[in-house]
Amino acid sequence: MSVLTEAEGALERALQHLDGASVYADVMAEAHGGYQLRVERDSTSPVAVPALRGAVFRAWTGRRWAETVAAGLDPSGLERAVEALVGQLRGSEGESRPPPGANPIDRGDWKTPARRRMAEVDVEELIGRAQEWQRLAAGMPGISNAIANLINLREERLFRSTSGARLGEEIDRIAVTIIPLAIENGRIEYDPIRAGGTGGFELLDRITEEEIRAGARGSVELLRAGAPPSGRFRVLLDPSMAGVFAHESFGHGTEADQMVRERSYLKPLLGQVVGPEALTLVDDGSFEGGWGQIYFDEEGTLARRNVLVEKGRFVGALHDRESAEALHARPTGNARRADFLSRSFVRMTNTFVEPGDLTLEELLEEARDGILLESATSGLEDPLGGQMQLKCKRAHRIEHGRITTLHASMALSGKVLDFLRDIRGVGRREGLRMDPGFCGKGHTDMLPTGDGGCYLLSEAVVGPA
Amino acid sequence: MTDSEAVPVARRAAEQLRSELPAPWEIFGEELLRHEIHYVGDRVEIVRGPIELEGIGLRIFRPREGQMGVGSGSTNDLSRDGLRRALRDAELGAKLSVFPAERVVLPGGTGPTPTVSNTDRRIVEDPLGALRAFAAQLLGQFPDGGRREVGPSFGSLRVTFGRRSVVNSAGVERSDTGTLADLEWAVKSTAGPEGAPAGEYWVNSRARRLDPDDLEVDVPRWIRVARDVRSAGAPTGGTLPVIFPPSILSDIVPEVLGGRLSGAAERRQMASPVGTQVASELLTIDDDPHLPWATHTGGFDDEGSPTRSSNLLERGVVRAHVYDVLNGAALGQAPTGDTFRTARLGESWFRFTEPPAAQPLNFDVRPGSGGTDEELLEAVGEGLWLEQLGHTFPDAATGGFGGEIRIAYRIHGGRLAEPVRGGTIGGLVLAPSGTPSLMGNVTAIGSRPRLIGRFRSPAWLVAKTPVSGGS
Repeated sequence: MSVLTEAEGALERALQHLDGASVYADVMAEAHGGYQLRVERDSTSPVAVPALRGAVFRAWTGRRWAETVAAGLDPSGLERAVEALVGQLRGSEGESRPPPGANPIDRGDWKTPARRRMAEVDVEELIGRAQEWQRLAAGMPGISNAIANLINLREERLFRSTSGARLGEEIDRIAVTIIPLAIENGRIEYDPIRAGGTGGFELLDRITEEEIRAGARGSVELLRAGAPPSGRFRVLLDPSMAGVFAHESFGHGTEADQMVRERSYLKPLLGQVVGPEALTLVDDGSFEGGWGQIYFDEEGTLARRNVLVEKGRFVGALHDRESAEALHARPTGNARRADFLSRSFVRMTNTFVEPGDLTLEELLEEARDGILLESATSGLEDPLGGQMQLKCKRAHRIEHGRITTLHASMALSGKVLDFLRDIRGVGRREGLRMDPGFCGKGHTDMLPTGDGGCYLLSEAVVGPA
Repeated sequence: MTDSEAVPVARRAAEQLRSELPAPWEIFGEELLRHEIHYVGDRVEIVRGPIELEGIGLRIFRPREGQMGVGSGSTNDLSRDGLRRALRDAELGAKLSVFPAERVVLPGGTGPTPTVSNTDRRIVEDPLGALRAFAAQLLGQFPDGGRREVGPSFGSLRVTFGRRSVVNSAGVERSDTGTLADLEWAVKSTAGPEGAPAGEYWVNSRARRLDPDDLEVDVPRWIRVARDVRSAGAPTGGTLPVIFPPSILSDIVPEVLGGRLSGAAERRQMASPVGTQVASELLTIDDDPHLPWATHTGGFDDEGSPTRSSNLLERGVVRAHVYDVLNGAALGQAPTGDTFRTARLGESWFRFTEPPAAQPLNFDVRPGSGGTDEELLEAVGEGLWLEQLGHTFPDAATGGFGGEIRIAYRIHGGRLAEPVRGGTIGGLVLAPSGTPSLMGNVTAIGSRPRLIGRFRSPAWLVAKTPVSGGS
């Protein structure tokens, strides 16, 4: 906690200034660092992650939250931010109620567990590893170039409140993407290799030579892929697609700030059966090693496992203090900001489909004739309308229970509740995988979230993407 | 920050570091002031601001054995220690990086650059007042203030006033101001058929100014669309003539065409070569960095080069690529004044943290002879008018795009007919001759352009567009 520890005295003094002005106040200070690398055929670009530092002070006015930002950690800047907040509090005197929910009181410090911490690894060593990946991918037949990206985000956060909470964390997020580029007659295709999570240097061992070779072969094969079919099919989602479904299609509707705004199609379904018994969906900020892991949220609530759908029944939503009070629930540790410059919303952390009991062969047999959708690229939420859109890099026809023709870039669309109703099976734990991603609230406020799961069989409309 | 007489942040940083900065070097600085109002329905949920942010991104260049080491660092800690840390980051990067250029020539000179319209004085002088006035006009467009069958469910209005500055070792010293207005607004409707779920139209826009005049046209359209979402059926699948309005094209075309015309793509052998036909002969597109109120408008680019207009596509044939300092040096080309610090995860309101990259700044599509939207509809006869797609995730590498139809209208008898929703639309944005693509299949271009962000265009009629039906 070097940077924030240095500033802690000034943060404490600034918070004390607020103690007399409001019934409750808190501060979240942040410092960002790390490295990102990009290795190509002709270039190597190591770039330090922007060293952004700052703090956001928040206080309860008696009717609502007010907050001010200090873009820096120098004592004078912190004091100015607090004075501005005190000014806002003075301007909102009158009828008052206590802040929503219980004020935080937890204390503790956490650090990403790692066998070898990224801060102790020379950048040269990281470059060497990325160059190995790049050379291996670029050397495969039919590959014109390859790009290896490695990003290590180091985040320090320190939370203190006038109710006595003091929480600190240092998190190392690591993500790798290797892009083998197959180029032929002006057409370009790639089948990326991805991995990521929280941890140390050892996490890079998840990228295997065989995986890179398979990605390179897949990129070349995509050049010759046939035109994707269109229409309604049985669809088998691979773990990456199942994860995007869990996050984008279902998860956003469980963010309870949307429910408070009457903007979630899921709100009236709380407590009801929405899918088969085989289906369990979870959001878990405490998921060890998950890319979206946090130890506590922006309000000082400890991160935890929150079951959203249990054996087909929609049992829980994600909350901050305000939505929890409005909907008679408990805060779930899901209040998150993109950074100290941004406001807090209810956000997901690591969202995934829990394993079921079917093997891939059994799922293919159950599908009989359909489409296997693999290597998710994106998804989009529609928390009010309950529509879904998922896109993937490649797909295969399933014919008579066997994987056959390859297709490039497909999109899936439909209604989430129909998709859930039509689920016919969930894959076993062997296929479980978690992917790193970034998620926005609307088109802004991007922050790291993980998603994943196991194979998932249902029905939907698919077409070219 | 709002004091135009104050020394720009890039200059201040350069003065602090001067003795430690061996040439060539470049410092990009921003001083920003942001205000936000967030709404739930027509109620203010939270007012944020002023949020003051100052930061710099610096680059240093170190020639080494016929190649170039390039290092960068960025920070909002402008103390001497903070700047030195950023410089240390840059020095390490320069030592370890490799780029295929023997030497770089940074732009020089402090002469005048073109005067442009990119600063909304209302945002500068009274940002919160301007936001509140805009919000009042927006809410005033809803029947009953939006409290009954159709109204806002949530939204945010965010304005930023900023000063940008670039200083380098070749003598460039430039600064300018600019404003940004971000609108995010969800319009919810419960009007219409019994039993159908509520409908929503979700608006996201970024502009250089708050333009209340547009609201009189836009809000009634948002309301109509939010209502129509409730009664929309599934589209019929097949290959159809489809009209793409500029609001949808602006999400697709700049990303892919811009990526394919960049020096970085040329260096990676992924560019569309100059002289090749990649689009319909009806398409002529210019890069106009001086387009009034476009989001990327400026008199100089983020490397300090003066901006200039250029022809990108002439009758569907690629006419030019655009180059930043580094890729230009690798390819033996001079920088074209098109460099923009692009956010890693979508466009942010600050960019000193982002790496510079060249892309055409603003896209200006020359109007065609298709006439008004109504005349385009008449010419189509039967087809589909797209109103909103889910994000299309355009991919500059493969040239692909695709997204869910959030709301569209069937065109029947030359007029808009029933709304449709669901299914997907997608394919390639541009492709060599003979390969079907959105830009290759354009058969008419309207005559009335509209500016959306950094893209000005009329609607396009695209024949033979694959639509996957929702049923």
